[in-house]
Amino acid sequence: MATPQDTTQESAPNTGSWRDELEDVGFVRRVLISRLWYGPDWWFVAISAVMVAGFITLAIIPGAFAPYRPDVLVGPRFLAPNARPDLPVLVVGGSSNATQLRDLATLPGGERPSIGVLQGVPTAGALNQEAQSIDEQLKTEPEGLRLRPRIVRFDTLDATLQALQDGKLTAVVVRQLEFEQVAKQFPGLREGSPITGETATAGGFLLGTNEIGQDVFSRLIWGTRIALIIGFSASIVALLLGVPLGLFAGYSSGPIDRLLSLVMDSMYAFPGLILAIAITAVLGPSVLNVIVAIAVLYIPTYYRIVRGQTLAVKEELYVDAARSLGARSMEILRRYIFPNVIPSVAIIFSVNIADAILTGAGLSFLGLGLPPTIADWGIDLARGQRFIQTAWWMITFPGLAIMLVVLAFSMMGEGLTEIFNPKLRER
Amino acid sequence: MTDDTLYSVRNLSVDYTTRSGTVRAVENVSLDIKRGEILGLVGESGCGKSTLGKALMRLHTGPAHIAAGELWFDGRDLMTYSEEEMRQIRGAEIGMVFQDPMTSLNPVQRVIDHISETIRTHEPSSEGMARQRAEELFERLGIRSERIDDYPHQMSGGMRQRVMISLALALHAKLVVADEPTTSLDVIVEAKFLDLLRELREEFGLTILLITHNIGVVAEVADRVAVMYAGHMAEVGNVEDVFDRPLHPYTQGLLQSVPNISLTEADSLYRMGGEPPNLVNPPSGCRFHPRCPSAMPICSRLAPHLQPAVDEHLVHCWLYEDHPEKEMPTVKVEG
Repeated sequence: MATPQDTTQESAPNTGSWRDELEDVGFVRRVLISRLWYGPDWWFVAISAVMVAGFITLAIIPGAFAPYRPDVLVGPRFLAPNARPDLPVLVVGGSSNATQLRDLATLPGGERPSIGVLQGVPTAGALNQEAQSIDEQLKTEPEGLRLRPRIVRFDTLDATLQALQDGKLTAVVVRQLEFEQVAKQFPGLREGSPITGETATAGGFLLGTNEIGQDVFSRLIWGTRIALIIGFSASIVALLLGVPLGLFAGYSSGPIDRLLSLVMDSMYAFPGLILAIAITAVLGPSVLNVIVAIAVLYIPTYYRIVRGQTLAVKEELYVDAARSLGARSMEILRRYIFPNVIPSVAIIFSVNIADAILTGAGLSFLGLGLPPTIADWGIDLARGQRFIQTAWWMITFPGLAIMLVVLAFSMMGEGLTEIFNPKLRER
Repeated sequence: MTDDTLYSVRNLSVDYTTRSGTVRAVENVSLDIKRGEILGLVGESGCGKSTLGKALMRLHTGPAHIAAGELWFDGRDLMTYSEEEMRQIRGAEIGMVFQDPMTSLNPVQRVIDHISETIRTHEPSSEGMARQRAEELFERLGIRSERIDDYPHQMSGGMRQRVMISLALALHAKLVVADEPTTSLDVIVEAKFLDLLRELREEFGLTILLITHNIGVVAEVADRVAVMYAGHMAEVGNVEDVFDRPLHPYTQGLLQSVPNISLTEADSLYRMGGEPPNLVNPPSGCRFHPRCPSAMPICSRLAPHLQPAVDEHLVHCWLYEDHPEKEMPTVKVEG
């Protein structure tokens, strides 16, 4: 019989080692403590956690980070990363105090300004368009000013600028970068502002622009949202369907189990992407259909793992013990089998998010998944691959983004698994 | 069946369906468990003693099933009970303690949850009441009540085995089936645990079926002993009778095989010839006859009956049973 003496000995208070403390601490401290036994690799988890947190922040508030909306045409087409757009700029003589096209407006009856342009470049068209829109606007204002420039065409840049320097013209409109190269030869001339009013984009675009003049960087940031929505929703839907089915099949292990396993295995036998392609092709392109297609793809993964684990846990002595105490089947499933199966589900879940993002990108790359109006990395990849030789940035950055987000989720999934389930590490 | 019999097993057979055929792990076994006694059930590994123990609660699932027989518990025929009715009996009236305390508790559930869940499965009871009862039980079993919130892995093997006992006691089970409860405990913890079993028997009027292959444990705590061999009940009787004067040749061999600290180098341990039979194709007649030193021609043809040799000392052997075809005279045992 247990005397008081041996009771104290057997139930001696915890010696305060970190392993015992783990029971009493919260999430943050647990993560910090995990460093101690996670070994020198703890930074691996830390980095991935920061990356995942970053991606989630981006997905929640892309507007705070992206300079432009993803669907507006903000600049010239095919602008390389960090290159300045070669905007048509107004150049005037040193004596003039005009800085923009609007300053050249005159009263009706006054002398129309003559503006020189270079023959054969689109600056003339831009000038014409811009002058007309300014004129339209001026008409509505009380001053009665009009802008109706006389456009004079020249064959060379030098001739154009020389004419201005000689006072034959009021101003010229030339490409900004071209003018800057020769500006020293014409000291009397002064550069005004770009005529098209795109002063905000004059500094260029961090990651360049695509074939219709959208900002690659902004599309990248907005694309995070749809990638994470697809990744999380598809994994959660697959989990919510696959886990109960697996539990039920594993626990009942009768004809229902055999039938379910047959169905799941035949789904598993399909190459994943092909199955998803077939489903989206039938359902049509929309975010919801992509989520459904990918979820269907991953149900068998959950089902198989959970069923296998259930079969194993079902034979554990503590399940027999629970039955010997009169526990109901539902109770055994819920309190004995499910909690012992869930660690493996957590692993698949984290890996699955990454996988689902990849599949989602693959689907939209093939043009099957999402409607083309949505900012999505897969769509950007598909558009970029046509211009891979001339505009490498269009395909490189979405590709990198997909790689990074998949890497972050995989790394964090594995790290967290080991932190919260050291038993798996020992296996 | 008399009134002092708590559980009466009649002609029980349990089959396992395997790929190589049907294995009859328990064949035609009858056993009476008396109220308030500790009955030791001994035998080699694989002789069917755990199968019998599980059959008492009709716990078998999957490949195992009860092929024939009657189970009378407290005057009720359990074979006629539905699964739901059996569930009411399990835990509440018959408890079970398993061999390996390390794996017989759910690793992700606190100890208190095991106990309160068991109580609340069978009785409407509040969380607080269940907890209070659990604490009282823990105190009684010599575990500090603070440990009630621990997880199983924070406890030693002996403590866990006491927790398992407390699960059976929580609802005042009449019968506890203890399936090799001390096998994985060291001898000191084992001795304490056996003392505890004896005390609980006195205190709660428990009846205990102690399944073990440890003859010493049975000699120490049991009132009566039942010896099984290859799915047959070989011998049943009071501990003193069986151990002082074993009748069945298998029991004799088994008792001689027990290592003893007083053995000198000159005495070598008795080693029984042959191997335990393969139960897919068991030997005909008495299943022990291929290894039996006193085998007779009839032994390989017909199985004997479990019948009293003297008073309440039952034996399953042709040596003590008459039959017209028997060549040898029947051994008469003096009372």
